[in-house]
Amino acid sequence: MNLGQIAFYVLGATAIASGIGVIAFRNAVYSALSLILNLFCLALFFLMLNAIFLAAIQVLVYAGAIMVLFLFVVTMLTPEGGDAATVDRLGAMQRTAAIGLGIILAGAFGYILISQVRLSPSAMATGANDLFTVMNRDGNTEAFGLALFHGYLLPFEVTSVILVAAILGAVVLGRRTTSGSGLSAGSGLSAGSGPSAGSGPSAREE
Amino acid sequence: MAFTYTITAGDWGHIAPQLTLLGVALLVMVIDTMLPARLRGGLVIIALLGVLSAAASALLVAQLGGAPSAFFGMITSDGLAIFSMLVILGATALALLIAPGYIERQGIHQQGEYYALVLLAATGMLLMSTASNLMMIFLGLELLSLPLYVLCAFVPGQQIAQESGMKYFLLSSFASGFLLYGMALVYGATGATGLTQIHAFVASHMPLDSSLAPLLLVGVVLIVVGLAFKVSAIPFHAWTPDVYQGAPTPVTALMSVGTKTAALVALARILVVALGPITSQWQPLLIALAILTMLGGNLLAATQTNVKRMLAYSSIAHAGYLLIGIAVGTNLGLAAMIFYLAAYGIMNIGAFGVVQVIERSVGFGTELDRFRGLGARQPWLAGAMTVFLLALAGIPGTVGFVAKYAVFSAAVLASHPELTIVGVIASMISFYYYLRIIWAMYFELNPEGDPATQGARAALGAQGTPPLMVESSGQSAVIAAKSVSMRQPIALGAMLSLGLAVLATIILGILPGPLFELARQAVGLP
Repeated sequence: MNLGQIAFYVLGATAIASGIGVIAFRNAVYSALSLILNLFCLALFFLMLNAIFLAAIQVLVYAGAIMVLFLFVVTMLTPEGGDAATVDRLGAMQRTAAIGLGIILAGAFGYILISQVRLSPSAMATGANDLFTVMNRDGNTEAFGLALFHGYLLPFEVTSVILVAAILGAVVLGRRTTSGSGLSAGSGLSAGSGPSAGSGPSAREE
Repeated sequence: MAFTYTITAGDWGHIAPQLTLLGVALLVMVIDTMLPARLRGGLVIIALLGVLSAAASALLVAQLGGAPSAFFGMITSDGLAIFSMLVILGATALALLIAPGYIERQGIHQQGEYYALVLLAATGMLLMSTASNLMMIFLGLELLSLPLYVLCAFVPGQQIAQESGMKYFLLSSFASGFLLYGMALVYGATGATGLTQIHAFVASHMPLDSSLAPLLLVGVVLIVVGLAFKVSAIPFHAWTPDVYQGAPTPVTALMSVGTKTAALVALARILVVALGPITSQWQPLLIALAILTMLGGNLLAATQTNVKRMLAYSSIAHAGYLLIGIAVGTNLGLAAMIFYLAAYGIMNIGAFGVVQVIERSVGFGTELDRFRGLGARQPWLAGAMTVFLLALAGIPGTVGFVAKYAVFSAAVLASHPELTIVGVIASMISFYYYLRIIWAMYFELNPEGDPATQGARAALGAQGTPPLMVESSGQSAVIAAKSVSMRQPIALGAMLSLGLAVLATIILGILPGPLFELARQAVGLP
């Protein structure tokens, strides 16, 4: 058994254990932390496969950004945590942070646009185009980008459509809870009360 | 190639139907936010126009021909793809037509979201049935599933709807896991996700040696499990009745036809087209699935008293007949299967279209009792239901008979008579429960004092007739009052949808030739 195999088994065991942890912990924060561990293991798997860029992105996006959001929501929703004043102070801090980060992001995009970063001309070079040739010639990130926006453009775009569908679905299910309670508190003539009145007798039927 | 493949305008032209449908879905979403609430009903017209223009562009793609695949072999526009796209778009159009009246009765406010999600799900079905790469098949499946999870739970404030959405989400995610694992193993064995490359690899490595066989075969089994869940084949059917019952009926109709079409076409592409060289390896599995599904679906359906649930079990049974087309492993089988899909789409959406007229709140009020005496109250509605049920049972003169005949004869020609024998026995079982509804509609009245009619009486109460008055009047007056108050209004769209479905069921039943010829051409038979 060589070093790579040992690393694989150790990582695999950790990934599975942390995956179980996500659903087994009763405390939501522990679950979120196990998820971070799980995503980190995946990043290491990518690293073992020489996909350096993918590993970095996995850590940045999933273990970093998305998990911070998760933890933030978990902390916000925990009933005993935080009174209104904390939330207000958080909100002010958040605004400041959002403005600062927004300026940085706009600056970064502006720099990219102005400096006209382009693909290296070798990207379209002919000749052998298997994975390792391209990686050695253009580098890991370039190879990833080239594959993503040439051969695998359609799956990439379809993924974004799936995200649109998921967002729309989340909005439908999320907004309904608030509008539903608003309706029952509001005028009794709303059409929403129709089916729930009709369901009374049918529920007895069952 | 993956690094230098250049996307051309022709590539985008290939997916014109999918792009059209997606564009209209986004358009509906945006217009919805700008319209005042009273005008939102008009969104269904935009959605329908979108479906029709998608169908037109599918025909255009078929006319123009050109290269069979696009986007680095991700997607194909061969005959099978065009035919299944038209089946899915037809089903979507029929399901959209019956939606407005139902939405109004169930008190659904979010009309724009409803139509946008239906169109997004249909886009996913189109992508899945035209995919020629494992990756695209999975993405298409996810794009069709995600909107359906939400649509199943769409009726607000109903526990049964939430149960439906939640159950579908959990079990379906589980099945997606199986599917993805299977795809990963097949990729590991063959080193390719493109179906063409997989075919080439398997064909050049025949017979399979012991280093390759376990990985590939386990992968294939997992893929079959994942997709069998989506077509609700037994033993992966347990979610179907609960999900179908709690979902809004137009969604159930779309789900039962569209998802089946997309998943079966994808399964056919993987097994018959890509893994054709190892037919003998996967065939026993498919034959077992088909036999179990045909017998089990029909036996379970026969015990149901709720018509919506019964149609759910009947859709399981039809998945069994459809699986015969793949199990025989021939092109003729595939032609029979896609013809069956077209026929099944027409008659099944028709049947659900009648059920949604009868249904009160989602999932309730579709008991067999509610169909008693329908022939006297609403002769046209009962007549349409009779046509659909006879077609589902496979009575000659309807398209259902031709479809069953095509599938069974394909099985005999491929020397698998056992599938035909089981299929015929299963069809005979199905006569019992289809005919029982017809019997209830025409030959049974609601006898007063029968405990089974309490539901009807509760309906009277709910509709505003004071129960005391009903109790005190004479017998005939009661029946008269009941028949007036229980007459269900049919929305214009539903009437159009049912009319079209009845016409198609009968005309295609008498003159199936042209459509069957198209189905044969679609799979490349002369």
